[in-house]
Amino acid sequence: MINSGNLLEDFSELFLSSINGFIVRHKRSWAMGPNSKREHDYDLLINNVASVFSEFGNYILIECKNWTDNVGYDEVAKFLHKLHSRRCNTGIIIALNNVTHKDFNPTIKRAYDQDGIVVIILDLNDIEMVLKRKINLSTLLRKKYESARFGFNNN
Amino acid sequence: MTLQEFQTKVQELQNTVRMGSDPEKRRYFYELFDDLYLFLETNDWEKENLIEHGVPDSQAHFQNVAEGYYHLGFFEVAFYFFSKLTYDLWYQKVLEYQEKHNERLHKGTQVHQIGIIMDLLSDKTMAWDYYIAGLIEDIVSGRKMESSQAFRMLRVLGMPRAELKDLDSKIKDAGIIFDPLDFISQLRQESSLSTYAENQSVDYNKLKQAELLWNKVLKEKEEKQNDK
Repeated sequence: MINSGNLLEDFSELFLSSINGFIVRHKRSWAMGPNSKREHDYDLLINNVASVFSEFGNYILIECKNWTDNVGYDEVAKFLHKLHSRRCNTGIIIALNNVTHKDFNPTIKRAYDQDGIVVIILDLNDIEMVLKRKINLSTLLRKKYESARFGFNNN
Repeated sequence: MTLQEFQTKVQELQNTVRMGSDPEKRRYFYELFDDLYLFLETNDWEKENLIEHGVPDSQAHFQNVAEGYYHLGFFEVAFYFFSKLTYDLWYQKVLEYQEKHNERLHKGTQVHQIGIIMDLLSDKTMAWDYYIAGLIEDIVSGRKMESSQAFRMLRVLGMPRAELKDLDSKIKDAGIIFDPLDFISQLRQESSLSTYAENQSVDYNKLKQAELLWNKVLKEKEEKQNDK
């Protein structure tokens, strides 16, 4: 049986690589924790060669969250740390639940102000809108990027 | 654009025309501008001279001249620029009229033709926006989206039907729109109206594959929730 984490990762791989120039280089990485325990690092690594997304940086980390409960601040903070340690400018969290973006906006904005890192959250509603072709995926990513970087409230 | 600015641009463009050796086309080319100059110098910018005319009409100076140059463009690309320049001026004069009289006039021909010209000149980004402007004009004038020529052109360029439907309802919600280009700019700030480049950057075949997988993801999510 396919485990749910993998299914969401497989979906995210196809979904994000539908953007020409987003090349998935690596799937699911593990890191060593302080007690020599294997800990989940990131789900996808994208090499970005899309000229329309040059601002995103060369590498984008992706985290897939099969959350059943609300997204916690800790999750976003941990992800920011991973991005920082990998010198990645942009990270994308794919969440299976709807996420209230305004709860995270101050954290995300601060991450850009302090470290120049942008975190984009794509939730269930965003994904459905893209798959139903109501919003173009590139347009949505650009909008969310601008929102995180400049603090627009237009998600 | 003032009349003087317009004439300056025309003179700049004239230097790029190579058609001088063909006396017939040359005559046609100059006659068109003689007509337009006379019109620009003597007209009073009344509605009759600014609206679109369905049948040949001596009052339709802008339309006749712009169309004339558009057809000459088939022989020499430079004439597309003359045609666009004339449509630009016509569009701007209508905007001035609307401002002065607080009355909206249909501008579908101007914006749609500029879209076609830019499309022919391979400037798809600009063509995309002008086709959207043409669609806005048609919908605001009460035409059904599917019957608009702009709708077909946008489909050809790759805008998904669902995005067009979404755009249709946004236009209807807005009510009267005096300047479609300004409305496009507003939509880009407030919502997610795509650009041509953004649309082209998506591989819809891969997205379709993702959609099939997404259904499995949702099914599994539902099963998990039922198990809880």
